[in-house]
Amino acid sequence: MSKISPEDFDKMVAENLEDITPGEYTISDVNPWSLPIGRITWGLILTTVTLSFLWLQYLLPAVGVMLMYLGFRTLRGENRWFRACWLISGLKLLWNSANLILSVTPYGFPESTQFTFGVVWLVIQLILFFAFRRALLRVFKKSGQSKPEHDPLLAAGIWTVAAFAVALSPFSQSWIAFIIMIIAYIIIVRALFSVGKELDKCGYEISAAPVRIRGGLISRIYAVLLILAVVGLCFFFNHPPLNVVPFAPAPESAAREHLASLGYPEAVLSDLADSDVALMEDAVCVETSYEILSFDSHREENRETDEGGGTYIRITEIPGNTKLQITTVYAEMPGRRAYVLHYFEWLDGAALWQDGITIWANSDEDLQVSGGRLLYEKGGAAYAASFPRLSAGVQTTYGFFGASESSQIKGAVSYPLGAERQRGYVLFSFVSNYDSDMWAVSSAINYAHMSNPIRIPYADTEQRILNGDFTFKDGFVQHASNYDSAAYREAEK
Amino acid sequence: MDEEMINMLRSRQEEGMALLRTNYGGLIRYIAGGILQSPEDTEECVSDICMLVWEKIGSYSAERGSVSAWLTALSRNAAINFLKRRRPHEELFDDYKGADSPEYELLRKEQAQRLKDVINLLDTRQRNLFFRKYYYLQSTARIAAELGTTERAVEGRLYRLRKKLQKALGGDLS
Repeated sequence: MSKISPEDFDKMVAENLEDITPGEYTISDVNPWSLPIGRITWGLILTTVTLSFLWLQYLLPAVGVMLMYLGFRTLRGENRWFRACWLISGLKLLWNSANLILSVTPYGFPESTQFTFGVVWLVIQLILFFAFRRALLRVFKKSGQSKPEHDPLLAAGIWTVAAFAVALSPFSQSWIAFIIMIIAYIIIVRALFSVGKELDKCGYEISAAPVRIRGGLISRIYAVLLILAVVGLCFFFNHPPLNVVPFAPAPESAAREHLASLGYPEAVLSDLADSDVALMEDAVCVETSYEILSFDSHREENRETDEGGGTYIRITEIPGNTKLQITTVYAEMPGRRAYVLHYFEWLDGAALWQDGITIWANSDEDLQVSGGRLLYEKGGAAYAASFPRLSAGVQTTYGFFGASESSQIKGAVSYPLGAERQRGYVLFSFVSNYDSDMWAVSSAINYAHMSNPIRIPYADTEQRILNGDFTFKDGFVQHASNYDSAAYREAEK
Repeated sequence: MDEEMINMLRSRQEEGMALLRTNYGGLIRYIAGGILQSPEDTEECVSDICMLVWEKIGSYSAERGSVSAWLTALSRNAAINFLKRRRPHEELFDDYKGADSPEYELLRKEQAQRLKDVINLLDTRQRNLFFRKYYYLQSTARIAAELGTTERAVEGRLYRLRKKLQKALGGDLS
C-alpha cells in the first residue's frame, strides 16, 4: 500500500463529507462562544455558591476562578468590556489563590476582616456582572440585534445582592433564610445558564483571541502550584520547629529523693527539670493517677444471652493503634497549695503535626505555668525542648452549653520526624483560698491529636479544642482526676 | 420563530430574508468565513448563500433536520463552490497528489458511509475537532483560538485524530 501525505489525506476526508451533515449537538457545539461561555458560567456558579464540607468551600472557588479566567481569556479580544471581565477574573484568580495560600498559614486574614472583604468582593462581582452584560450587549449590537430577549446577568446581580443581604440579616441562620438562599441560588444558576442561550443568534459574531499558552497547561500548572503551596505550607506550619537541647537525666538530689519517697513516679521524676523539682521540694503528700488513652479506639456491640435466656447488648471498647499514657501527679504543698503535673507519653503513635493540649483546674486563682517541656529520643540521643507554644490565661471555651470563660493552660505538642519515646509535661500550681486545710482540686488535660498536617484553614490545635471543634470520636482524649488534701482525707476517715 | 421565517421565505416575503439575516446571518458568516478566510469573499459569499436559501427553501424539510443543520450544510457547500470559482488555481479537493492512489479510490468508493461509521466512534471532543477541521475547514489558528489553546496543541490533536482515522479507514500516512 502506497503512502499519502497528511495534507492529501485531509483533502480526501474533507471531500467525502459533502453528503454528511454534522449532528445537532455538533452544530450547537462548534461556535466561538460555547466553550468560553460554558467555562464562565460554571466559573460564576462555582464562585457564587459556598458548600462548606469536604473542603468544597476551597476547591470549588479555586476551580471556578480558573474557569472564569480561561473563558474570558478567549473572549478578551472581542470588545473592551470582555477585556475588563478578563482582567477582573485574573484579579479574582490571584486573590483567591493568595487567600487560599494565606489561609493555611498563621498569617491568614482574621475573621474580623471577612465582612470588609465580603463587601469589596460583592462590589467586584457586581462590576463583573455589569461588564459582562455590557460585553454581551456589544455583541448583540455588532450582530445587528437590538438587545437580548432576557437579561440573565441583571437577574444574577440582583439575586447576588439579595443573597448577601439575607446572609447579613439576623435571620441568616433560620430555615426561612436558608430556603430564600437556595431559591436565590437556583435563580442565579438558571440565569447564568441562560446566558449561553442568549448567544445562539448572535454569538457567531464573537471572535476568539489567540493564546500563547494552552488553557489545559495553565490549569495544570495552577493546580500543581496551588496544591504544592497549600500542602507545603501545611507541612511547614503544622510541624513547628523546636528549641532543642541535649537531655541528660538529672543527678540524684535530696529533693528528688524526697519526692520519690512520697510516691512520685520515678519515670516521671527523672524527666523533670531540676528547677521544677525544686518547686516541689517541700511537698507533704503525693498522689498519682494515670490512664492509657487511644485516639482511634471504637466500640463494638455484641448481642449476648444471659443465664436466664434473656438477651442483652455488651458494648466493648476496642483499643486503637495509638496509645497515649497520661499521668497526673498532685504534690500537696504546705499552705493550701499544690503542684499539679500532667505528664504524657506516646506508647504507640507520634505527635508530628502540631497536637494540642488544654489544661483546666478548679483553682481559685488564675492558672500559671510553673514548668514544662517536651522530651524525646532520636538516633540514640535524648533531647529536651520547650513547647512550641505554651501559655496560660482566661480562655473562652465553646461547648454543649454555649460559651464560657475559665482560666486554662493551652499549648502545642509536636516532635521532630523520627523522634522516639515522645513525652512531655506541664507543671502548674494550684492555690485554694478556702480558709481550711480541707480542700480539693480537680484537673483535666485535654489532648487533641492530628494524624496529618493538612489543615485548611490553619488553626492552632489548642485553640480548636477551646472552640469545641473536637469530639471524643475524632482524635480527642481527656484525662480528669481529683485530689483531696491530706487533711480532707484524714477527716473523711 | 424558525417556522415563521420558513413560511415567509416559502411565500416569497422579503421579511423572511430579513429574519434569515438577523437570526442566521452569524451562522452563515461563521461557516463561510472559516472556509474562505477573507472578509470580502465572506461577505459576498454570505449574500450568495442567502440567495441560495431563497431559491432552495422548497427543499427544506423540518422532518429531516433543524434549520441550523440545513443552513450549515448549504453554507458549507456554497462556500466551497465559491472558493473553487474564486480561486481556481488553489488546490482544494481535486488534482491533489495521490488522486490515483488506492487510498483515494478506497475513500471515494468505499463511501462516506464508512466515514460516518468512523465519526460515530469518535468521542465528543474528537468529533467536534473532526468537523471543525474537515467539515467547517477551519484553520488551525481559528480552531486553537476558539478552543482556548495553541496552534501547536491543535496540531498535536489533529495528528492523533488523523492517525485514528487512518487506522479506521485504512491507508498509510507518509
